[in-house]
Amino acid sequence: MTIHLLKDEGIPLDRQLLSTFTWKNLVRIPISKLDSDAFTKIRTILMNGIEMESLVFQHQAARMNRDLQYHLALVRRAEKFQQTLVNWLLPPDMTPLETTIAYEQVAIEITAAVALAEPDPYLAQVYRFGLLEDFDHMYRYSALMDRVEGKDANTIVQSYSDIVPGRPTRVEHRHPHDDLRLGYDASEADPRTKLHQLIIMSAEQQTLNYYNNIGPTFSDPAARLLYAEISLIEEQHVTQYESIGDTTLGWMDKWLLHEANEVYCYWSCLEAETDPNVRKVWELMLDLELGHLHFVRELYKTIERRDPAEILPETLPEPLRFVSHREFVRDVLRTEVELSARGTEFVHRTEETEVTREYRHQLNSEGSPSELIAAGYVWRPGTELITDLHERPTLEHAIPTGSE
Amino acid sequence: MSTHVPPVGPNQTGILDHPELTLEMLEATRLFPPSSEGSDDNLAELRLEYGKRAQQGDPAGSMPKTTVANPSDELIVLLDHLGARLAFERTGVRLYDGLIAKHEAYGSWEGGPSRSELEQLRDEEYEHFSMLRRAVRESGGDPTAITPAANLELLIGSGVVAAIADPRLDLLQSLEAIMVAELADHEGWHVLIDLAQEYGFSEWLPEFKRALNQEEDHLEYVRRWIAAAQNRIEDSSH
Repeated sequence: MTIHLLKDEGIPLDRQLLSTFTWKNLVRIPISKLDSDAFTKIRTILMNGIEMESLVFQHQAARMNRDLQYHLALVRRAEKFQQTLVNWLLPPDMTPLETTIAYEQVAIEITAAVALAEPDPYLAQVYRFGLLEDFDHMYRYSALMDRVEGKDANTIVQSYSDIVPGRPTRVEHRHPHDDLRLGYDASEADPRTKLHQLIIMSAEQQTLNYYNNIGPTFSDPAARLLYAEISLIEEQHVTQYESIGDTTLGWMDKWLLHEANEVYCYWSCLEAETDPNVRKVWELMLDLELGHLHFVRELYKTIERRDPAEILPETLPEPLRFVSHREFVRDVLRTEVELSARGTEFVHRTEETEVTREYRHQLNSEGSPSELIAAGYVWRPGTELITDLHERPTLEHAIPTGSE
Repeated sequence: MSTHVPPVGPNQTGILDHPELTLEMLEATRLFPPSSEGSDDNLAELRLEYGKRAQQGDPAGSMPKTTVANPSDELIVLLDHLGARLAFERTGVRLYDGLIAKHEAYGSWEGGPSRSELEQLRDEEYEHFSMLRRAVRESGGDPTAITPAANLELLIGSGVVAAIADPRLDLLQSLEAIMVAELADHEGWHVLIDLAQEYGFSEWLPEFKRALNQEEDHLEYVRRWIAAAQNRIEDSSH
């Protein structure tokens, strides 16, 4: 299916608000925690993040642009319907900690996909840098799940991603001085660069908000501490990823890009989705977003008196790849785990700034939750309580053999 | 008198603290009646509708693949319940880790658990877990998977995990939480044994029955410890 960003019209906005949704078609039977593919969960979580960013952006735009408020309210209403429908696909028996594991898997696999596809080498490095940190988060949360709840995070991860340490969370804490990066220049940047920045910033922002909200709902002090620690890193990540945007773009430019990005993401989901019920959701969402894009394109011509083609390409790049990036992640882990940042540059950890060292030393001065909780943790299928595996476990020990 | 008397303090949840304000609230309900007719029966209708919708779609969860070609329905049911016990015992080890931590933090009481007793119960949960892994594997199942029955039990037991993990709840309160788990586990073992007998899977019955005996002891210990804390004689007839 080819999308024409400058021509496709989708479902008209009026029809979206007045004749598309009822409460009962918004609140559908959720996907199955046990049966749904990890990448269906990843797509669902990603798209909730994309919709949440559209709401956040459109609210911020409204606060700064009186003459756009009504137009933004119209589109934002539709975005809210979409956010409800998509996020409510997640099943209630997926616990907050299980959902957390899935959130980190989103960060790992989508950031890896973006890092590989990103044409700007500096920005590809930014994504690889963040990737190793979210990768470590999933390891720490997996240890928490194993040791506190006696559950195996791989029941969510489904063996698509490794559960091993990344860049240790304990050393991820950096002073704001070292969390900002260089932004792309929209007049020169490849369309993929602009989309990637929105995607990863949205995903990290969603994760930050999620941990901010659920951190205090845990009774175990280990969990409360770990969420406090990792949510701080997510704040750093949102700081990083929003700094690689082009701050000289106007509100309408950014609105156009947001809508194009939503089209791109839903189209990517539709191309990859294996669950037939969820495919129908992506089809509907894509049509809705094309309607938003059409609306904003026309607004752009009227208000900005400019051609949307100045901002948007005619067609979309290759879709996001929803696959396991195991080998790529391992390669990055082998070569870049010792990286840190000094201002906007990436340096070896020995070259960090004094202020970052001071900041980190202070925070960790009473111990590091992420180190304590995952001390000695080695993932094993069925939890670390398995002791009958040899040093290098084989499948024969891990799972039964024989014909199915 | 119980050795564990909860303090009487600033609990704000009842109406006795605010009788006048409560009367005002009741007056408000007279002045401003409901905006729609009906009753809590409406919830039942809504649940029925969604229940029917759920049945038209895919199930909440299915069984994982087996290594047995063309598994019988009986084997599937057995593997489901084996999965449930396996998940329960695995979490049970962590729950007893939590109780041991509470023992260290809060201490015990006369007639209450010793650390070594809690460790013994934890170790027995671990033995059950290890045995069940072998039982699942050798019966053709995947001991790393969550079966639908296991998922249900994990959902039900999540409150017990949260209670024992809460450092504000003392050892007695944590034992009251584990009592819920032990009661459910006890029933779960009975069901598993009945199913194994009914379906002709007798190979593992001696081990299942041994586990049940130990679980009965667990239940008895926990009852006794709680009764001792409350200075009452435990009635083992129920």
